[in-house]
Amino acid sequence: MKVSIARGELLDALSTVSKGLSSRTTLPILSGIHIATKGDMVVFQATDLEISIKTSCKARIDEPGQAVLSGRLLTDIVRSLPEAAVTLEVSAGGSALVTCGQSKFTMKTLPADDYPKFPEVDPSTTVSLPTETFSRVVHQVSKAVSKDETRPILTGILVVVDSGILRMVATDSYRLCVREVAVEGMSGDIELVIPGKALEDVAKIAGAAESISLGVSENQVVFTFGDTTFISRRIEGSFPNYRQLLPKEHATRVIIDRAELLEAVKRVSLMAQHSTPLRISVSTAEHTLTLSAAAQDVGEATEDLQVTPEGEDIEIAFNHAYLVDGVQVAEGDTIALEITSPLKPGVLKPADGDGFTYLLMPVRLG
Amino acid sequence: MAVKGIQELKPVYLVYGDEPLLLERALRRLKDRVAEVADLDFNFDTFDGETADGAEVVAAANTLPFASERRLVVVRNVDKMRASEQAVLATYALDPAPTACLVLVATKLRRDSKLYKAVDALGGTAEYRAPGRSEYPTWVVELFGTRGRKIDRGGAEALVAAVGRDLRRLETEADKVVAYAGDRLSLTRADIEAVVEATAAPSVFDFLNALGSRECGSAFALLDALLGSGEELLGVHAMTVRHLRTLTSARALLDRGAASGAMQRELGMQEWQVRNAVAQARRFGADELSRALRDAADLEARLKSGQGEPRVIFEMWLAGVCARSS
Repeated sequence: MKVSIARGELLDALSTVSKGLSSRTTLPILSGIHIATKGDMVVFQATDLEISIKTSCKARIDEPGQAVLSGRLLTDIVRSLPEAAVTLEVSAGGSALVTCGQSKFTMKTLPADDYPKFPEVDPSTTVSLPTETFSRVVHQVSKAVSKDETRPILTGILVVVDSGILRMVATDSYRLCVREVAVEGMSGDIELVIPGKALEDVAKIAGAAESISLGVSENQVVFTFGDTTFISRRIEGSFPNYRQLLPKEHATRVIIDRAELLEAVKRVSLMAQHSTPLRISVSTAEHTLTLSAAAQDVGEATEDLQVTPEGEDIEIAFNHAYLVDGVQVAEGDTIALEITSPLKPGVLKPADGDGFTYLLMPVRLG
Repeated sequence: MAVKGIQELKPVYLVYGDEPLLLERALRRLKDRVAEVADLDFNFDTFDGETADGAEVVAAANTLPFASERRLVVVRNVDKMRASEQAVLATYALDPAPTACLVLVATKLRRDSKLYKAVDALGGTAEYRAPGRSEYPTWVVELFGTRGRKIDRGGAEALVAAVGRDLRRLETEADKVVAYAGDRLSLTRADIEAVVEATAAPSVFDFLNALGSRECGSAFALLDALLGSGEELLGVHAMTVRHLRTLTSARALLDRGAASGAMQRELGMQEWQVRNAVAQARRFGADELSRALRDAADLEARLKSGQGEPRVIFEMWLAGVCARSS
């Protein structure tokens, strides 16, 4: 095989499929990227057997063929090259020559015949989503995805498309994020749990594409955008009934400037260690929300914010990191913090609108 | 089994012991108990002491439960936590969150450690020890009982002999026997022999007990199994001499009419060990035991100076010890 590709396009293709590279040393072939010619295109593939990614780009094909090359090394080499045509020449003896300008690299290849076949998925339902909307929603809810592998269902995001509404839900049992958005012209209903990491990867690499097609089969989900196909397994099991957790009423509601709150929380959190909470006190008479944190043998921090409160004076405490996450991804310039009691979840919402809910469990007040 | 009888959940537990199966069972019982008052889909966190940060665990325990009364937080291998991280948990245990059930699981934790003392003060410590060597058959009888079956003592002993002293394997094999028996409620040694393949590694103590009981056939079979599993003949000889010394002492104490308590003190043994030694010593006369010891010294000299085929001269000595009274 001998092909020449513009360095920028080659790097884009390699960066895209690199998300699928496996770090498992038990199957060395999975640390490689499969490269094959197809007409006047070169097709790149990678898989860790959980996700499989395929993309292609135009190239000058001098000699068709296929090869598997170490994914990380090839990506690092191409990233280091100047902007020019990169030639990849694979010899029958099991080595590849990468040349660009005056630079030459030889690399050992891995046996291409051992590479797993790219999965064939026949989706029963397919929906098309604007990439910008999809990526924004994934970014918002992925903060609440659990990293605890002992509860696989919580490592996923519940994705629901129903009557033109896209809804994504994630929880790690300390917070819960629900994001709903109406998508014009979207048809088809789906409900499934997709690994959070797969959705984050798709959101990252689909950036330039205008829309993403999401196809669902019995065990897998396939995303298609531009020249790229991304296949992930679905997470089996039932997503917990999150609706029962959403409070139907509140005792206190505070309207607050999101950017101001975020900055203040970050400042005060400097005094909040992992196990010490960030305390929030609302005074309706003084129209203030006071943030405070105290670390034993270290010191204390306090900051007052002018807010628009409704309801009762209240005091509650949260894990500062989870609160920062919630304020960071919340919708709108002004947000509402709704509190029922110090022992019940607090809720962040847009000041006007219902499309975003970030529910946060309180920490006991010391 | 202190946890079994709890009526109210304590905010912190420390379950510890050297038998993983018993720890798992204790943990399962606690989990079931918490599940009665909590939705564990949202209120269950696990940490591994080898990598967990004490503050992370405390932060989880201090977070109020999601639409439930309790949050269950489990830390396995808490004995492998760094001392500084254990100290964080010890401080938490002095003022634990009433809405959390923190379960610490350890193989061993010093009783004078701050963490142990703090949890013990809450009444939350429970030790799960492996049964004593002689208690395994009783444990097996109880195990079958929990599955609604009765097994006789001979059957229980046969299962222990076949499988060894591994509770997890005993449980697995017991389940196979129950499946094999179908609806039959009473089980015997024949059921064990029909289903369970003998895989237990032979124990030198089983050999010594066979020799002390003068069960010649068993002693030879166990010696064969021991040597086949790679045990050194000189090692077996050393253990045999030690055992004969114990029997000689027990015999002497018996002849003097010593009481059980005095025997425990003199022999430096636990009650069950004394009981075993006395039962075996009764099978020998004092002169038989002293002759066996003298012959053992002679045997050792021959083994170490290459006089004769080692296994043959050991077996001849063994036959002499076992058979002398008949």
